Amino acid sequence: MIRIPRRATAIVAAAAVVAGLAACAPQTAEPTVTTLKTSVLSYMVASNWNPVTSPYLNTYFPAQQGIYETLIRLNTEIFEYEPLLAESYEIGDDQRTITLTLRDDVDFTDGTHFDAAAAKAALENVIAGPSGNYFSTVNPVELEATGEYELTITSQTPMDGTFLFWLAISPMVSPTAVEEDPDGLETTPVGTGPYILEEQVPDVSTTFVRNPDYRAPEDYPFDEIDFLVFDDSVAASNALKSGQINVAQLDPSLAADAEAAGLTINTGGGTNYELIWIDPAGAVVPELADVRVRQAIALAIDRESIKDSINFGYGTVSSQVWGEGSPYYVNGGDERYAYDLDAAKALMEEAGYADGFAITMPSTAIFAKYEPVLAQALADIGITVTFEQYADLVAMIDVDKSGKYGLMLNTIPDLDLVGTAQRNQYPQLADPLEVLNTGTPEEIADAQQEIGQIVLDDALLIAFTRTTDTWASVPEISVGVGVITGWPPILQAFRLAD
Amino acid sequence: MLLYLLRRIGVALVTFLSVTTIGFLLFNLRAPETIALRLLGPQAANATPEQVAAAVERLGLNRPLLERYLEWLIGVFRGDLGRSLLTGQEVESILGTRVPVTLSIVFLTIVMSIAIGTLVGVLAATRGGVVDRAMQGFAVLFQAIPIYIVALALVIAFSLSLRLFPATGYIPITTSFTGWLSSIFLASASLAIGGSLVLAVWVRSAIIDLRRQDWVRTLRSRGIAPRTIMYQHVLRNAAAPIVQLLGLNIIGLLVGTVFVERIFNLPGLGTAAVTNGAVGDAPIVLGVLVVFVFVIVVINFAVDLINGFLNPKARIT
Repeated sequence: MIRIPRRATAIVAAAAVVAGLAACAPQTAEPTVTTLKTSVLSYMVASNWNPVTSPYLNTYFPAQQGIYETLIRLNTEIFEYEPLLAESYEIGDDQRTITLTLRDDVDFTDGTHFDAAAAKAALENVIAGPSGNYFSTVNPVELEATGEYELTITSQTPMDGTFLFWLAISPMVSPTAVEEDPDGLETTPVGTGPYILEEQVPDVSTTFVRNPDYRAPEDYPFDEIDFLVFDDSVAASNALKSGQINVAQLDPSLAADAEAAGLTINTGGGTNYELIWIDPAGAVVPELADVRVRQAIALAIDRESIKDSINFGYGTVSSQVWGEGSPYYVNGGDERYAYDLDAAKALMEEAGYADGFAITMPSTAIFAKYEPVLAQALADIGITVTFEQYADLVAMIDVDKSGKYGLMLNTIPDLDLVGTAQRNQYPQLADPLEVLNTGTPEEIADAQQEIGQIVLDDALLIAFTRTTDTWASVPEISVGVGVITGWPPILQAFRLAD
Repeated sequence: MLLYLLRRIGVALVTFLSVTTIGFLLFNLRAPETIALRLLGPQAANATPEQVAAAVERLGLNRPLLERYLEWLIGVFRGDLGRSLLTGQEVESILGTRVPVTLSIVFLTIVMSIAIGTLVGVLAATRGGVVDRAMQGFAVLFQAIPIYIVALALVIAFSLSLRLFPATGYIPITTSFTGWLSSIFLASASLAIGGSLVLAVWVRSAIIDLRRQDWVRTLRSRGIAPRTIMYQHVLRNAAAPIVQLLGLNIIGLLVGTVFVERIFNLPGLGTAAVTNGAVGDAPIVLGVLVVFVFVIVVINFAVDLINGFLNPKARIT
């Protein structure tokens, strides 16, 4: 009889346990083109779907767009507002009235017909809730159903990008559900969107299946969508590479690795990083009031090197803070301040500052990786920089009003993209800024171009890098990443690849 | 013993109150506008003073700090941890789904630590030589390697390369026992590797110490098999200090779960604390703090009681 050593028996037993466990592990299915499984951050999916009681319910993120539609939407892929539940809309000459002609072929999933009265009631519910505080506190509006399928909204102040943005994220929720079953609505949303909520584990996963009555199912290729919460980019990357999900937004530092694993990296606009001149009177740093000094700073920054060495090769190189597609984007302006150290030094000398000067700039942790390279770039033209740290961007919001600094580091995530500090402070911007409030659409477009040109020529905002959002996907799926500053893709931008 | 018991209860209460109060103050000493602004999310940069003021009022941040603190503290003792500032959900219901995840990881880690630690410790003590030195070397090594490195190495090896275990995600035990086990196996293993080796060092030391005792020699002289002496007598006597060590290890494990939950995307208490801390949702973070402090205080209390029961000298310290 063969005697098996006790140690060998133990090893075999342990191996059997591991193998057994592994065999019992849920096998990772091959990515399927009928199901979209995408990672989201936890705050990107609503867990209370009643607009009257949910403090954070809007359609800014794609998950909400699957259930709730809006009258108009911001298509981040082309950065334009476009009708959705409205067939068309028209803003009055006084910029205070918007008239929306609504679709007549829409029903909520509880059977309630969508018309002007329903749209008015839905908007009133949003305004009554904590999600609509722009309309309730900043720019109160009057709503009137001026026809069966025509809704007119009148605002107290001229409608700018902020107004349209809030209109574009105000969800149309069945007014019948809000009235008759407000508690049920918190967990069972009733909208007009292409999907209905199948199952949700708050902060973990949310599953949508097709709304069988949706008017245009061909616009949404996936029969099922799973939004899985991943608050860590490395974990999302691992899930993607192991086939547990098929789309994820990844940190750019992980994108090359994902690409090497056979995944597709979808890129778009991204976040602009720039130096903002916040001392137009020249009271803090008089040297910066000379446009040649600001232009010299712009010329001294090697953006290509920043992109390659700090942004892992992703992003774009441009002298202007606005990307293509933005109304402020200046055609041919990307190379306006291409890296040229000699020209920068010459401008400093011409301005009478060949020996340089010293400045202090506020900064936060998100800029930390750029601080050394910026300090070196400015040192190359004789400017010594000291960075003062603030806790976060929120803490820096009031910095530009403090009168302590001449330049500050910032990103510009806002819609109309003219930093709040610049408003009405620069004489050269006063006229075009006024036109934004009072002009016709054509005049506004011209004014936006003029603002873009002035900001670029006068180096009011000195772009030093533009990172990009990096969405990784299996080859069968593509993601239409937003062209501007890290805005999330709309749900319709998740497509089957060509 | 009664006096000792009362003193321990007093210490536990003071500890609980101190830590939770400091936590509450850290989150609420900032200006109400700063807290509200952060919660406005992507629109914070464009928020008008009116919007911020409305958010401050809606969140009740305009009330005196003492009033808010007392309300929160009374709520804690009633089991009401408040509502999420972002979603409006009850914190108890949010944490209710997360406690089982963290406890699952901790439970499996303890089981693995005891099994591996005891086995390796006994082997090191009885075999000596290379086995003993290797165990001690690995113990030092894995104490020095951060948990997240071990966790990432396990993911790369067993999930991405061998595809034996899921890289992320949690399956409740009520859905599938084997699915549950496989979903937390690597996370628990990440924590157990270091912990079990520390335990092994303790087991080894205790066994070597106990084997020199006279009563062991007596047992041996009576012809009792060495294996029986080891497992029925020596290990049993070594158990008490090891149980105390395990109690302390559990506290360390709770910290470790914060890392592994994030790496394996397990929706436990640690993930809740990190995620909601980043967006400033104070009630959830404070809720996690309360649970963690409660568990730690209870474990310390239990360890003190065991210590007092086993060692009468401890009762007078």
